Amino acid sequence: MKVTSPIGELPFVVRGVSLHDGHVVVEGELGAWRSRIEVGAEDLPMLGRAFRGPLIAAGLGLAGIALLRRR
Amino acid sequence: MPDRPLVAIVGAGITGLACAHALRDVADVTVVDRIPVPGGVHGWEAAETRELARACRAHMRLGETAIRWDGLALLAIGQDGPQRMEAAALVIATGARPLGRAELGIAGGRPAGIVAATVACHLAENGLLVGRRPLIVGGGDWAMRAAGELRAAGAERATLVCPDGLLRERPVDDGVHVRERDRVVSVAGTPRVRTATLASGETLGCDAVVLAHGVAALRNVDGAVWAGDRAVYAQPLADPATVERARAAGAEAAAAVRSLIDQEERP
Repeated sequence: MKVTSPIGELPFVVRGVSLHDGHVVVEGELGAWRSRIEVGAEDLPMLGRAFRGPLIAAGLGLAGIALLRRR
Repeated sequence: MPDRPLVAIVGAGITGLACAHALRDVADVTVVDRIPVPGGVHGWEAAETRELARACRAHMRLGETAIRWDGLALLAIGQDGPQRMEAAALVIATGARPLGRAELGIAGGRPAGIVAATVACHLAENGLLVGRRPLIVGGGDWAMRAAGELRAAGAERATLVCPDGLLRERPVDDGVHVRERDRVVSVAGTPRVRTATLASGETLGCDAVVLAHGVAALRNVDGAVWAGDRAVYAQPLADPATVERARAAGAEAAAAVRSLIDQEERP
């Protein structure tokens, strides 16, 4: 995984995923820097908006494939 | 081996890594860099970076900023706070920068909009344009890169003023104008730069001046700005910078470190 930042593009390596206080915590390394990403229920609307387009496209694609297979 | 001398290298670019590689059999080397990946301007994904980082067998302290060298130890600050590391020698391999305004002898007031090419490129890469009609001082790699990046970021036109002539192929972009063998002698404008006067006497309108001429060593470790106190400098100042030159500078610095260590070990 890569992350673009003001100091350039850096590699992000995931070291582990866990649950803490109702949050999904992704721990990893951004280059040599220890990093963590926390995702909670309050982030779901934002994630829903961000992934709406790709999810709709994926849904339509799958529906299309299913229709073609039925024929 | 505990009796091996400790050497600290600031800068994990090709030069610093090549120096660490050349010292791997005679010293315990620690490489410090404020960026959390090795490679410097060459990039962490480059084959040379990966090969040297693996082969140099150095202790990498990436993402830590070297602050001060007192002749005996290097103070660095990272995620875990300040750390002091003793070393028999310090190698400064922190790269180079374009000459500053004072070094270029550009007179006039101090208007906003005069920036180093490295800064202008960095801002352009992140979507911030230093000016729509920038005047770029220089004709080498930094100048060409600045012209390309600023145009790509939306500059209407860019004018290259090349004191030593154009050192690269003439740009094919119609929006990049070139003035060879001329130099900027003064700037004017308030609060932002509006004009630049050239040695030829002509005055050009601009809204930014990008400094991309000449090469100077970047030395920002307090206490190791000047030679002495067991500090060795590995900073090739040739334009264009090449991997071969960087490797050679690293090997040369390693030889200087060996000589320094030999002198100290002699009774």
